[in-house]
Amino acid sequence: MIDAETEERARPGAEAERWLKGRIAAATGSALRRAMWLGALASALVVPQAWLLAHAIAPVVMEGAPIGRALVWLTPVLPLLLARLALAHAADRAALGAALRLKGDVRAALLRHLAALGPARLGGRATGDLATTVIEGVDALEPYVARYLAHLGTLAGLPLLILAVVLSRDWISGLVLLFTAPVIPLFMVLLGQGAERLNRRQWRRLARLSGRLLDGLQRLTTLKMLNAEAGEESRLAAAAEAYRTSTMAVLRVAFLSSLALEFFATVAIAMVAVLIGFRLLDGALGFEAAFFVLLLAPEFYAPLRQLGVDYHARMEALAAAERIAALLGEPGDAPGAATPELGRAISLRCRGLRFGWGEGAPAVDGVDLDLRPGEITVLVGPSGAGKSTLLSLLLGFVSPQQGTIEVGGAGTSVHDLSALAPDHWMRQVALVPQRPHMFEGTVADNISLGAPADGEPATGNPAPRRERVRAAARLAAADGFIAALPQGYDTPLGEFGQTLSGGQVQRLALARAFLKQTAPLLIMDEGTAGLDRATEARVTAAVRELARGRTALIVTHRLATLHLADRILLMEAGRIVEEGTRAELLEKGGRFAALLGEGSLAA
Amino acid sequence: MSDAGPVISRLLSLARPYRGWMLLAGGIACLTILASVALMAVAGWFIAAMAIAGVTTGMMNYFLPAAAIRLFAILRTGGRYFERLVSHEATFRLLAELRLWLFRRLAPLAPAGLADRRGADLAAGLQADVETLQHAYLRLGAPIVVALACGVLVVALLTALHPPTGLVVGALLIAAGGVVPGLARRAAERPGSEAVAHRAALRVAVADFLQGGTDLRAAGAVGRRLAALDALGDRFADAQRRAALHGAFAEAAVGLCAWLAVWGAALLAAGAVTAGTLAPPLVPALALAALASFEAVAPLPGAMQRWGEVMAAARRLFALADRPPPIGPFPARSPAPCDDGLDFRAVRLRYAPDGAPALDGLDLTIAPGCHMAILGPSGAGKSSIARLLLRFWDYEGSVTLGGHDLREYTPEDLRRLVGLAAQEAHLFNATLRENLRVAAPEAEEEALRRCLALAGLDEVLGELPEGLDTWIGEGGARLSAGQARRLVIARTLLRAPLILVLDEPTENLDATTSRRLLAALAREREGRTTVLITHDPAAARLFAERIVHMEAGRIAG
Repeated sequence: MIDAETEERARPGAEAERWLKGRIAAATGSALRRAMWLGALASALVVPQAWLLAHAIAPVVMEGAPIGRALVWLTPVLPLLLARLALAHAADRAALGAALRLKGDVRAALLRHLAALGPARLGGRATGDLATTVIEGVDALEPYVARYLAHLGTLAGLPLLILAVVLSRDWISGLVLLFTAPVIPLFMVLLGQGAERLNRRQWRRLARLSGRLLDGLQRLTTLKMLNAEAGEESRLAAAAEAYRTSTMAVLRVAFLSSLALEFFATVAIAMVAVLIGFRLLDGALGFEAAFFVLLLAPEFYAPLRQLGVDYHARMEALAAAERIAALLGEPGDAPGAATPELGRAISLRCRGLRFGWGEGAPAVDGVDLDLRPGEITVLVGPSGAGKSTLLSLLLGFVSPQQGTIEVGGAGTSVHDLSALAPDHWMRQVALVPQRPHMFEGTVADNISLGAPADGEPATGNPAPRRERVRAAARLAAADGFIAALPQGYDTPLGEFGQTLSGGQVQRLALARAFLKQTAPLLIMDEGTAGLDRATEARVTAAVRELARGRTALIVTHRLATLHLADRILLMEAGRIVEEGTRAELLEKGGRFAALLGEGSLAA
Repeated sequence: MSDAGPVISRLLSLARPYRGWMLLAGGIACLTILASVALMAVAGWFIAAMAIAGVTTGMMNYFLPAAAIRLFAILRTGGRYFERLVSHEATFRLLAELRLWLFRRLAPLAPAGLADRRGADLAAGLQADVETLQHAYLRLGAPIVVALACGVLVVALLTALHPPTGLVVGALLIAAGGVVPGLARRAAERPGSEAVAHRAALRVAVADFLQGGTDLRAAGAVGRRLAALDALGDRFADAQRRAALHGAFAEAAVGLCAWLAVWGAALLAAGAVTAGTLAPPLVPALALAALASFEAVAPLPGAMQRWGEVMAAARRLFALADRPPPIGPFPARSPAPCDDGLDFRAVRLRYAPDGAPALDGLDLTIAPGCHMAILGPSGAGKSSIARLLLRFWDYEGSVTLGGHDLREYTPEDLRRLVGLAAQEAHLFNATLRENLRVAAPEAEEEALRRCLALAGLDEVLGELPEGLDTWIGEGGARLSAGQARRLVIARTLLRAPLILVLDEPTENLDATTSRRLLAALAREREGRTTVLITHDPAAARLFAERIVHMEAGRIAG
């Protein structure tokens, strides 16, 4: 781990910064440059301000001049102050606007990339981690734009301006400023680099801690069942403690860079004051110039101090940017773009399909498969045989590592699945997934996910949306239990449909599929699991109706569903090992017959 | 805000164990700011005195002021470093404590007391709120206290030197530290609390988007969801922007006040010199001290900007933590069960006060050692029996376990006695081993393997390259649904409960695996009370000595 980290690029974060700057240039337009100029202008007004003040005070201090003479110089300071306020506000407005646009741009890109990676690839990821990147990670980019970059204008302009002015009035003080100024950024870079490396480790730990808490709370009920709350408590405590010690280690170093900055700035101001004092005593310098220089000296270091403050934000932003860029750089499958008219009679022809998730045996290992229009194909096999992965391939969630999937559409047209636009392909499929997700929202919302939005041309059925939802629920044998819920179709669904049983969730997923009336392909993964026998019979009947005239592939463990099958495929260890009608397979007396024979569960 | 007082006092009481750290941090912060003011004042006085000496006597003792300038410079530099270290230390200690405090408060509420909150929303919202609360101390409480203390000291010092300047600087400090941030706070309060609410909503929506990806794709709803997420993200960012803009303006206004103070000090001090009531070198001293004193109030606009956010977060956390435990009271000690029989008499259970009863007059006796199957359609109330046995929900009627009423047992003992392999049981985003060890931290490797074998996972385990150390993903996503069910069963077996409740153990399993699993479980549980909850008559027939049918919350026969 340590080795891997030292082997990383010589300047960590440089790549992330380049990436971020590219994003910023594309997303924020001229707003950022405007913010820099306005900010620099506002800060530059400090020079005339100090000049006026020095002129006002000097005669009073040195000659005991009357107050009227001071007032002449003091009066113009007031409009200058107001102008400075207005300019600073305009700069802030521009900078925050630029940050807003950047965040929107990056967040949208992230979400779209996650969507493109698809559910199959994201299956093993911690949702908490990803959500942290999308929300807090993107938020961490804001200070980089709104503070660090926006202040760079002032940093570039003000010290030079002050240096020029001071050199012209008192060259010795000017030299002090000139020689201390470069030391500061040098120290900051040296110390900052160490902190930066630590900081990136920090970010990972924060994400892990966040995942820990999310995990811990979401699973509170399970923890209670296992009497394991105390264990979780100590794990949480250990995680938080590790977070504290490691963060403090980062901060001790990170704060050192601002200590160095503070030290040089303060010592330089003290030196300027003392050196000026001696020359004043010698009469080598006038008080007016001396006071002017002393007023300006802190302002010379102010942008550098600001940089020190912003540097921390910059490191956090770069750590976040690195994670975001890495996520955006994760290769998915290049989506196809073709949207041919496929008609109502789709066929699928798979040859030599192979796909593995990582090391070890491929989950799908050389599958040949044909799905024909109007035919219900049922896929059975032990759990872990690769059925779900095969469905992911057919749905286009992942592309085969070897082999082809050909889609036969209207007429004699044949298309490679990977050439089709994913959206277009999904429009052809009514899907009942293995673990349907219940979203935040009402029962009706959860069913109508698939309904065309208002304003879109309604496909087929012109009935209002609510009516279509009810019709679909009736077809899925879900209408009865929904009506019995406290608020019927308006019942909000709790965590993962907590108030619904597994069978009820399945039936809502069926209702979703029933809404896609025009999809020519039906893919179900154990769509009838978890139903009691009476409901299962009704659902099975409805599925038969739904499958009529479509190409259907149903994965099941329930032998009852086999009655629907025109053709049965048996999958084991990533391969289709038997294929035929129920009668053929029974007659053959192979693995399927053995399964059915020992299957005392057959209905 | 009428309820700010109690919220603040509760926050303070939570922080009490760390008040030593906080006082130390505040003390160093004050010292740093005072050193800064003194540095500028002495420097101003020094150059003026030297200039006057230069044109008059040419004599001056400069050792003392020059040394003072160096001393204050060092104090200021070191002070800032240590103040930041100490205050961050305090904050992180407090943050760790806060997380645990929350967990301890929430654990007794689950699941009945939290049923109205989604897990993702709950955890994510809490996560964000806890992080927001860290500002309550580091960037809200500490700056206010430090500003007050330093402001009073500096104004007293200036007043001692020249009362009118002291008054003007004091008034401007109040404007910069009180009025400006107060106005900015009021302006930023709404966008601030909006931002917190939007962030929580965005988190839920993102979690939904990620976890429900398959369903959204199938429904062709990905584009619509993305548009909704974009809109939500934009609303969130815009609320953040509006809040930040008010804060930035307040910061600029504080800068304006500081220079107004310099201006006023110069004018008043010059007037006093003209009138002969003030020594001339004090004019630059007062002007520079006035400028430096605003360091004390500079963090206040930023602090007050967080006020709305912090208060909203604190209020939400306290409201949740204060929920009364939904079930109880519990006894301090449990009786020893006489046997492992169960008896239900006229039991009713509702999940919501206005909802239909899930159990509606359930009468059922399960004899000790009996292998009983409860058969019925989904929604008949089968799983409610399991939840009731663990006292996750309250019920009417009477239930006895081993001859004693269920209410006489402590929750810990009850959960030790009753092992439930629940349908909705979650697997943790950790290794196989860790998932099992959650149930029994001291379990030997042998026991883990034995339970996995009983659940029919030994073959699967053999195929995993990393064995027990295989990472199973969020919610066990790297496992098939059937493997996940069996892992839950193995985890329950590992605890060796007196009574075993299996809720739909064969769901997602093929016929062969189901049969093997049930046979293994029947052997393992020989002579112990085991309740099989299923909708599958074949599974019930295969496993149980006695089968009862449930319908609409009661036994149908």
